[in-house]
Amino acid sequence: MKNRRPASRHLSRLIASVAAVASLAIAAPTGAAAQQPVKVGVVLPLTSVLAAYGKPYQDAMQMAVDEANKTGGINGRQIELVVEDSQASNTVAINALNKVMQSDPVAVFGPALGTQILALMPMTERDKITLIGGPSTRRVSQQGAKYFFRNSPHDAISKENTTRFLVDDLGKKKIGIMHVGNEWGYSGRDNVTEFLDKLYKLKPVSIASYQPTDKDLTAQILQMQRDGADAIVIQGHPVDEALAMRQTKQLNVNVPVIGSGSLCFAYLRNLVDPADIAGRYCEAPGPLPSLSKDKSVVDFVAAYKAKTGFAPEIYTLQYYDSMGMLIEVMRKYGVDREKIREGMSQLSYKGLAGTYKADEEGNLRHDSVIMEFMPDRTVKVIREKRQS
Amino acid sequence: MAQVFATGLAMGCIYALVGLSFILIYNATHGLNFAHGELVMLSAFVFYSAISTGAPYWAAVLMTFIAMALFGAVYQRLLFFPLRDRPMLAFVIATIGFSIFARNLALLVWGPNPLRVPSAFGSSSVDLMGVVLAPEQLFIVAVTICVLIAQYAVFFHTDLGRRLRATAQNVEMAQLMGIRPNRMIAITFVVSAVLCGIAGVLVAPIFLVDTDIGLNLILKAFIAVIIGGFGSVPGAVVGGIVVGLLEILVAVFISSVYKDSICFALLIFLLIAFPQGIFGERVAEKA
Repeated sequence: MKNRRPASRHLSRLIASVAAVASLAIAAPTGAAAQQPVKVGVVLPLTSVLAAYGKPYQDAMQMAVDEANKTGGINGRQIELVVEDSQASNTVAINALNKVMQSDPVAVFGPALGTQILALMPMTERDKITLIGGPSTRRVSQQGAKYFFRNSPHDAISKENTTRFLVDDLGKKKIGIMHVGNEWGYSGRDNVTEFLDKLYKLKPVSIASYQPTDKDLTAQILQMQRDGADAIVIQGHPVDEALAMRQTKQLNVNVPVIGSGSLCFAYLRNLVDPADIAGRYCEAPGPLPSLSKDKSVVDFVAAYKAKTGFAPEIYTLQYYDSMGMLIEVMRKYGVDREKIREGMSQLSYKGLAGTYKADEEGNLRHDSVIMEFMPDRTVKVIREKRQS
Repeated sequence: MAQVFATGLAMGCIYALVGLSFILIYNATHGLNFAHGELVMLSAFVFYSAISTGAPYWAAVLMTFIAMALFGAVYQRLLFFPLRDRPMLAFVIATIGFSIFARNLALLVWGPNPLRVPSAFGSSSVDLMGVVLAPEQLFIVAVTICVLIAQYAVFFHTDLGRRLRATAQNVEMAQLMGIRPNRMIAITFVVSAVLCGIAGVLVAPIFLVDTDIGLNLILKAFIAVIIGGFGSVPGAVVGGIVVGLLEILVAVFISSVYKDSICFALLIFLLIAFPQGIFGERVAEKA
């Protein structure tokens, strides 16, 4: 018996060891899962002519992720961006989203392009995954989508401000509209037309559109002059708005000209000579971040400039903020897709650009400002419509 | 009305320059160079880089022309020369491939953001009897006229010009006369690339430089050479000016939305009704 006691002890130790190893083996996958990064999909135009609408946002979101990862990520799990290029094509965008979905992301960021978001939306609704993007085209958020959140104000907000500015502040009644011939341009045209009618019973005296690839806008500008427009609203992309501003100056157009947020982008990316836009206006969801005295914004502008070489515009800041909001949602509500949607719908988030709070359509931002480009090359906010 | 004509004329001259360089290669090789818009794009990017070095404007222009001349020679050697004995479709497909390559290369080298090239004339305008013109527009017209005179002088009053024309008309016969066709074709590519360089330098300050800058130009230039008569040098110039005027007249008096549609509808109509264009085959053969 004396000899059997150690044997039984060995046996019990062996059983205990096997049990311990087995329990570790069972526990191991759970532990490994805990260390898996939380993946967030990003579908943006990174190449093609629309690349300028992708890379700045990717950089800003990466900054937000890096900052979050330094402070512990999501309950100890690092955040990882899974990025795919949507180029200038809806088909490519859909393929990019398909690829992103293979990595099982918890949420997806999409482009600030209405047509691409409309193409992606059926897939994100089907897969019940939150899609965040910044197109300002009004009807994007009127599709009844449950999982879409817009991180930028839509045209109905900005164009009401623009219309009121032109009529109430500048006293103009003969408004001409020049717009790019796509979803974005038509949305701007329709909203200005609607607010002119609704608020003042006016109609635009002239409307001219152009193709996104057009470089010579002389015909459209001459049409505005011929029709007697005493103020011109332009809704286009940064390149064509920059060219329009230069050509209106060359053609001695002396009536007020107001560009969209694209003009701020053009100004910050040095696409337009400040001398060419002195006295012109632009609308945007908020003041240029570089005008802010807030220390957090100043720090962000400095860090962004150091990373990219360019000053950020407000749309870039909104992508940074909305990534920050998603991170906060994941920290508070968890990384389950349904919980994220719930969190995005309920949370009021204070970002650098202002407050983000979803309305019933999933619109997170509700501000609009009008800025004037001054002759001394500075920019001044002259009208604000803030709800946050 | 004069304002509309002046603006259309300036744009037409750009189309004429691009069309001219396009048909030079067509006449020499009987192949369509679908990467021609990308040659304009590359020259605009090279011009931007040259200006960014802080070089004087004239030096940047010269650097661009030299770079494009070298590029033309390399382009001919790498893309046309190996395929010269194959069906011309092989060259056409190779140029399509190159156009995609060139756009992506530009994206990698110069990045996705459009780039602004400062204008030598600022953004001032000139008032000529009530017609407001940008100095660049006058300069474009003047440069186009100079290029046409220079090209006429070279092609019709020099031995090199006679050799180039002989090669364009009949390669075998030119060879029998002691002309080295490959060398002449290489020179044609260089001249064509330099013409693209001129177009790129002219449009870079008035348009922003991006990977799309050449696409619209080559489409309009293509219509111009069809209108003028495919292969005709004067036809390309006249066709370019017709397209420039037509598109602005349509935009101002009919609809800016449909100006491209109307231009392309005209192209289809001309291809069906007048396949020889304004100047037809007879002049094409002389070029």
